Amino acid sequence: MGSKMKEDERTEKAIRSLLKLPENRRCINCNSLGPQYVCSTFWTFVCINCSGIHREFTHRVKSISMAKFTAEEVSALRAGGNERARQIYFKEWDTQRDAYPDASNIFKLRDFIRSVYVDKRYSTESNDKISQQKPAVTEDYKESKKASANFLGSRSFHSVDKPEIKSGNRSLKYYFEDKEPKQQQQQLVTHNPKSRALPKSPIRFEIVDDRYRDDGSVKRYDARRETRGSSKSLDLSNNKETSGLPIVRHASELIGENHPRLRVEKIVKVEKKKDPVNNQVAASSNKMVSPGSLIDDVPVSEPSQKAIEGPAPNSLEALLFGYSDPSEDNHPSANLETQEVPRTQDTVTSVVTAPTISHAGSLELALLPDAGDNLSTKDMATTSAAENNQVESSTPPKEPSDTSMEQSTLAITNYAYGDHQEETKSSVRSALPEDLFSGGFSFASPQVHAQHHGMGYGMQYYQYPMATGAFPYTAKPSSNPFDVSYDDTCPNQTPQYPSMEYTQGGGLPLVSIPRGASDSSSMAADSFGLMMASQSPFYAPALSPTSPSLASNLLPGAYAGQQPHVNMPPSFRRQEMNSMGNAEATYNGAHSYHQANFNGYPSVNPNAYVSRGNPFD
Amino acid sequence: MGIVFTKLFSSVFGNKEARILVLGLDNAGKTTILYRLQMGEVVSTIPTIGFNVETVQYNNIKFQVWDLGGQTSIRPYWRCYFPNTQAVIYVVDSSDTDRIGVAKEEFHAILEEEELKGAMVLIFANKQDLPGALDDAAVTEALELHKIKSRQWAIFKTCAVKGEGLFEGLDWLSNTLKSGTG
Repeated sequence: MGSKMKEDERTEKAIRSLLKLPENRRCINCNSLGPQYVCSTFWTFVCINCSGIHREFTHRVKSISMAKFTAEEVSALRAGGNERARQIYFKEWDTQRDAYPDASNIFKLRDFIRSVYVDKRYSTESNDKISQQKPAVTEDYKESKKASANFLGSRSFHSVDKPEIKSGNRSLKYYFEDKEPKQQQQQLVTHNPKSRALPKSPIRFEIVDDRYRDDGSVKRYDARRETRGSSKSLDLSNNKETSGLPIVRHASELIGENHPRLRVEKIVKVEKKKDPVNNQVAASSNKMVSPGSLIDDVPVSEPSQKAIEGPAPNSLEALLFGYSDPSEDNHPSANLETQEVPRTQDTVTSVVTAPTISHAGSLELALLPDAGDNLSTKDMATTSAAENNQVESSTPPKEPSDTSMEQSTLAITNYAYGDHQEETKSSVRSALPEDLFSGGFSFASPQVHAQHHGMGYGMQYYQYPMATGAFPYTAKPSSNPFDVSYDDTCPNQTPQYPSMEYTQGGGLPLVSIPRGASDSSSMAADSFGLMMASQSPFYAPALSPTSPSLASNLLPGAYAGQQPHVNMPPSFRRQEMNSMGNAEATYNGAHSYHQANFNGYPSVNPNAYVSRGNPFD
Repeated sequence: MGIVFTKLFSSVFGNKEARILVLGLDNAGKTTILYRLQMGEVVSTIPTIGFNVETVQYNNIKFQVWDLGGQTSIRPYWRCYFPNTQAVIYVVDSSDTDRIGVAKEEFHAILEEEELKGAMVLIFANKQDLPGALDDAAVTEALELHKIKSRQWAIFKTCAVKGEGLFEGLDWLSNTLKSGTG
């Protein structure tokens, strides 16, 4: 009796320790913290809500605290766990495109779980396309993985592995061949512990164990992200196959569908004049996917980051680091900037950096609400978004502005209320382990709060400089506004905009200037507007969340290169103003929104800006 | 005084009350059955921690149905609810053949309980809709129901999700309650 008790204790301890692994700290389905149930069909750790839904699908669920586990179950759990299940069932999962379901919405959660585990929508289906796109990289990876697996001697699990690793055609084939074995295996896993009589089960488990131990759970966890990142990089730069992990393919595949990202690319690349409305729609429908994807990018860059420290981007980076790190907590966020840098080198240059910034901003957004008053932040986010849109949309006197405005705002709101939760969650998730990592930046968290109050204003101000910067350049080349602006701004023009803004302080005069510029160069404005509009879902939030100071750093940095600290003072001022009252900010937001509606008419624009500027005066 | 009156009244009109426990292993479908009986619809449930209690009016009997969590570690707390129980509904996941042995052990442990000596037992062989589900005869066999002595029992095939068999079981329960206790 006593020994049995001891054994129970031991197994519980083992499970609790598994629960402490970073990948198991959150429910695999809804990402909520502290899962208390084990789905013994997939050997995942899930929260109570998800466990209920799993039961509906006749998946077996056990409570960690209220059920007893056998040694077999523990070892199966050790071999499995969330990360492994993720590799299988979330293989085609893209953080950008696919948001984690809201844990409080049971219907969504159910649909989600059905699609993941019952329909297996994310497990392997689209492998085909992907593998065709990038066979080489994946192949390599697969090869190595295979080798390691073989080395470990886990034949049986090999097959299970396949699906995740699989990128090349071969692997795909493998997968299908192995599919049955895999299922068998699964069954074994599920049933073995219960029946206890099956001779094979222990062996398999052990094997699996070994393999996993070898990998190291933490590593696994990271690996996934890296993969994502690499895929991203693939998409954008078409060459950086740093990690070449399995997921790469699916990301690339996503590109086809994923408009937001595509958009970014397009913009970057030169495509320019696609019809803006369409783009936008895509963006809005995609719901702020882009920020996430951007985040994902980050990890890949990590290694390269150190190597590539460009001068202009660097300052930017440094600033970004300070902010983004604490906020996002993930390596990815930190990496964001870094990653971008490498890309910059690949001909993509400034354009890429711009997106990066926006990403960082978006990250911040997600975080901010978490940190402080949710409501206010959200409001502000929307507000700022609206403003952003205005700026953009107002610039082009054409049709796109109106629709884009609305849609983008919509998207933003969406983002704020829905995805943004996800974002926050993710940040939280990483927060536990990565606190250490971000510890150096502890100052950020307090600042964040203060800063985000300023968002609304900060955004406005900074956008003007942005606009100014962008327009002149955009006007000449029909291609990429960002590219041009970047080149020009870097050395010479940088001082111009910030200084203007700074000296004028009030921002009214400043505003008028950009306005004129934009109007005059309608074509450029249009293109710019397009870009902005299409990106707005994430771009705007990016700006808004970034606290004024951040914004100041980022925007000028992005467009003008190195003026971060010139801009700093204004940002502080802004903060003060904001501290005066949120009401103002909200008012502003509403105001801006109205204006947004008028955006179609260029004449209205100046007014809009004046009115907005007033509070500052 | 009021109580006396209601008792009188209910005895005249045949209204009875019965305290019923719904027991069974975790994931057998106890909570789903409870709410299916009570509301007539399938609710989305989560593993029960503690209990759910609802009253179900059926055939002039007011069933006070207690649905207790079935997870391993909280099964010992079932006994806290045993006193004054007229009937036990024991729910078995007929498709969970792996644990049918466990279900049997728990079931017979319940039958041993002194406080449940007078309680009748209704067995629901639940989840009949699932492939591979044992039918009532197989469940009877697996649970060794024939070993039950000096107690009224019955087994019904049920599917809580579809609502099949539940009210037949309640019918039996109400009939036996009426005949048994007068």
